[in-house]
Parts: sequence; C-alpha cells; structure tokens
Amino acid sequence: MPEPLVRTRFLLGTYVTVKVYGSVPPGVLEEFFSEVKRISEKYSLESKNSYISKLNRGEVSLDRETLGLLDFAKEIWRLSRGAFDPTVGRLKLLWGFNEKPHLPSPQEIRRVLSFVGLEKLRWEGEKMASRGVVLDFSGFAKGYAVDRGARVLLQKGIRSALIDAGGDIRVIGTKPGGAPWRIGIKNPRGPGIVKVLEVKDAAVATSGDYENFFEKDGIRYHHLLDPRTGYPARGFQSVTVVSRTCMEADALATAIFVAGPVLGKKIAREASVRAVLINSLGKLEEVFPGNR
Amino acid sequence: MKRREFLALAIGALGASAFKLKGKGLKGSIIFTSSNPKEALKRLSKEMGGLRLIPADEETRRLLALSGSWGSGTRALVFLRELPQEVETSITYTGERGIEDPRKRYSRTYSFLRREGRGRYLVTLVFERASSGKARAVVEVEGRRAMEIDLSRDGQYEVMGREGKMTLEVSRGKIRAVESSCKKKICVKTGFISSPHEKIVCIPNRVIVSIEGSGLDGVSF
Repeated sequence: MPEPLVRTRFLLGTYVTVKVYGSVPPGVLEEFFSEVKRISEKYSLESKNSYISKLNRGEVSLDRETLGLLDFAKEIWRLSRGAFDPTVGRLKLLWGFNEKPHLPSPQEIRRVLSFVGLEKLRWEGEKMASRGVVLDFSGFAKGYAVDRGARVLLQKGIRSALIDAGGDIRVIGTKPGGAPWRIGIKNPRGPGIVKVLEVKDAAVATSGDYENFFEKDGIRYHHLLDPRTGYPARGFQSVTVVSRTCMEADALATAIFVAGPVLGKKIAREASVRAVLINSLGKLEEVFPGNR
Repeated sequence: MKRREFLALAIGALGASAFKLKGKGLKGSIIFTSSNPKEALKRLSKEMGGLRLIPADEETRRLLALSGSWGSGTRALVFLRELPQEVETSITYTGERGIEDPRKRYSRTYSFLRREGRGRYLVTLVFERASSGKARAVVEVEGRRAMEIDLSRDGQYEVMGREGKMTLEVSRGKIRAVESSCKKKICVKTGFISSPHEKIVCIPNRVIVSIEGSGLDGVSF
C-alpha cells in the first residue's frame, strides 16, 4: 500500500486531518484547508465579527450560501418534527457549553425558549428582524465544511482520500486496491470501538452524550439540547449516521439523537440512511435504508 | 468427498485467507464444516468467551449476510465457502506449532462443533495475534509528531501543548489524559483509549493522542 499524504490543522473548533492517496497536485491541500477555514470563520458564533454573528444582529443580508444552508436546515427540521432546530443557538449560549457549562434555572430556560423555534425567524427584506433569535449552524457546519473540502479534492482529480474533522468523516472512493475504508464507532462508555463500518464514497458522523458534558448531583448534562424542552435530549448514548454527504450525516445524527429512539428510527428510514443507534442503556441497534 | 480432497480444499481456503495476514503472525485457526455457519459462529463465539469476526472477502460477507465486522472479543478472520456437496463433520485445529489435537485443549468447543454434524459450508477461522509488535500511542502537537509512547509499560508522560502542560497516563495497555492546562478538560473526560485511531484531543493545547495500528482508518465520535 502506498504511503498517503497526511496533514492536520486545527479548525472548526477541532482538528481537521486529511489523508490522500495517489499523486497530489501542488497547492491542493492548501486550497482544502483554506476553504474549510473560510467556512469555519464565516459561521463561528464565538466571533462577534463573523458573518453569522452580523447576520444575527440584522447587520448583513442573507447570502446565497447561507440561504442554501437554511433551506437544508428547514428540511431536517421538518423531517425531525422540530427536534433539530438551527435556532437552538440561544439555548446553547445559556447553558454555556462553549465557555462555562452550568445548569441554568428553569425560569432562565423558559425565558430563552421564547426565542427558540425556526417558526420564530423573521426577515425584513434579506436581513434578520427577529430580535433575540440566534441562527446557529454548528449542528452541521462542520459537515458542510468537510463536504466543501472534499469538493476541492475531487475537482483536483483526487480519487482516494479520507477527511476526519473531529470525528466527522468523509471518504472519497476506496483505499488503493479497492478495499473499503474501515471506520470504527467509539464506545460511548469506556475505551474501544463497538462497531466497524465499511464505507466508500460516503460520510459518517456521530452525535454522542460523552463528548461535551458536565455532571451535577449525579446527572449528566450534555451539549445536545432539545429545543422543545430546553434540556439535554435523553434516550441515546450515541447516534451514528452514514450518508452520502457529511452535512447530511452531521445534521441527521443530531436530529435523530434529539428526536429519541421512536421518532429517530423513523427519521433514519425516511431519510434513507444507515444509522447505528446506541440507546441510553447501551443497547446497539442498526437501521438500514430500505428496511421496513 | 475423500478426506484427502477435503483437507486440500480446507488448506486452500486457509491459504486464500492468509494473503491478508502476511507478516501479522497467526495465533491459530479452526476449520470446520457446518450446515448453518452463522448459527455455528454465534455459538462458537459464546463458547470462546466472545469473538469479533471479520469477514475476509466479499463472498464470505455475502454468505454470512454481514456488512462489516460482528461481535466483540478475540479478533478472528472468517473465511466461508459453500462446498459442492455436504461432507462429514471434519474439524481441524491449527496452533503455532501446527495441527493440534483439539481434545487436549479445546474439548468444549470441539464437542460443540462435533455436534454440528454434516454440513455444506466450510468455515475457516483465523485468530490473529493481539498485536504484531508493541502497541504504541502517538502524540501530535500542532499537527506534528512529538512523542511515541510504548503502551506495554505503565507510566506517566508530560506533553507541552500550545497553552500549557498535559499529563498522560499509561495503564495496562491503555492511555488517558489525567491532567491538562485547558479549561474544559474534555481531553481528561475522554478517559482511556485503547483501539487504533481512537483519539484524545485537547484543542486549546493543539494536542492529539492516538493509538497506532492498522485495522481501522478512522473513528467516528
């Protein structure tokens, strides 16, 4: 097996590693990282001067790229009966998962919930006019950036590559020789892998309650908040989705996780994706597209 | 089918699957016939305290109706073929020194497989050594390889990251971050990792600790 070219940079709030087999034209990896960086900065809510922050303040107009993302988010919102909601940003800010995670009071949660809900989004021309509502694409911006990066690689003729952005994975083609890429699913409780997926030309994303959480009085509070209740979604330890694009895998993993086991399975079937579900008791179940 | 022809087919099957194991070092193999290989493998896994079966090729995958690996426990490559006719039960155990008498060491699994009776499927199970060579963790800082840690020796290691210090601990072949200068300590909360491509990541420090090894190309989390 030939040696791949591997590069890692820190973007999108995590590590982004790209592994490419075959000849790599000069400048391709730079272009790859440049595109990922562009999206990372554009949709970063942490930065007050990012496009998304300005959009949320009604300072700039909705551009074509963001309209595309919003349309996609609406699709997933509809499909998940509101479990996946890009206006959950305000709630995330309250819980402080990006800065100082803490348990907010029920009153604080109730108050913030009045600003959560895609149906509350208002526009004045092409600028946001719903004060207090925060559009947040972090539920799938990573996946989107990975897809855009993959597009750069494909356009430059690369036919065998693996992109890993903090556990969101997208593979191009197969490994040299035709073997599928083997992607493990992390055990949500403890070391090791619980399952190996063999994929080609696909994306794999996982939402889990073990990545970003805090514990208080013996209860785990994690970052996958249910926009309908204001509290972390219960029902799963982790959800892994295999899809054609990373954006889809990313969004659906979050949507299914928040929706819970019953609705989650329905979502996977309706979206026609393969999903590996590990429920709150650690039981693993797989859903396949075309399975009834 | 004469016993000699059968053995030739069995060894041929072993040879075909051996292409994947070159240089890895075999621990042993079991070859047996079965009328219901999927069921037999499930039972065998139970008898042996857990097997993680990895189909050796497309045909095996197809016959077992498996899309990836299955189960957990000792890794075993499984190579399955349908024979042109049913054959009498024939079971061969091969250890590191050649063909072994199963009644001495594997009496339980042997008697289970014997009860299987006649079968149309030839199953070859090959057990790989846990690791050919020492298990190692690699520490990357700012995208560059900074340290290699031998996981066979318990110990503590210090890593200088972008913002400060991280302390890693190796214990019984696993590694974890016990301390870190970062605020959120997500790296510490990750706990122990043990499988190739599992990672402990500290973003503020720009540190990635991962286990070296083949078998996987990535881990989704």
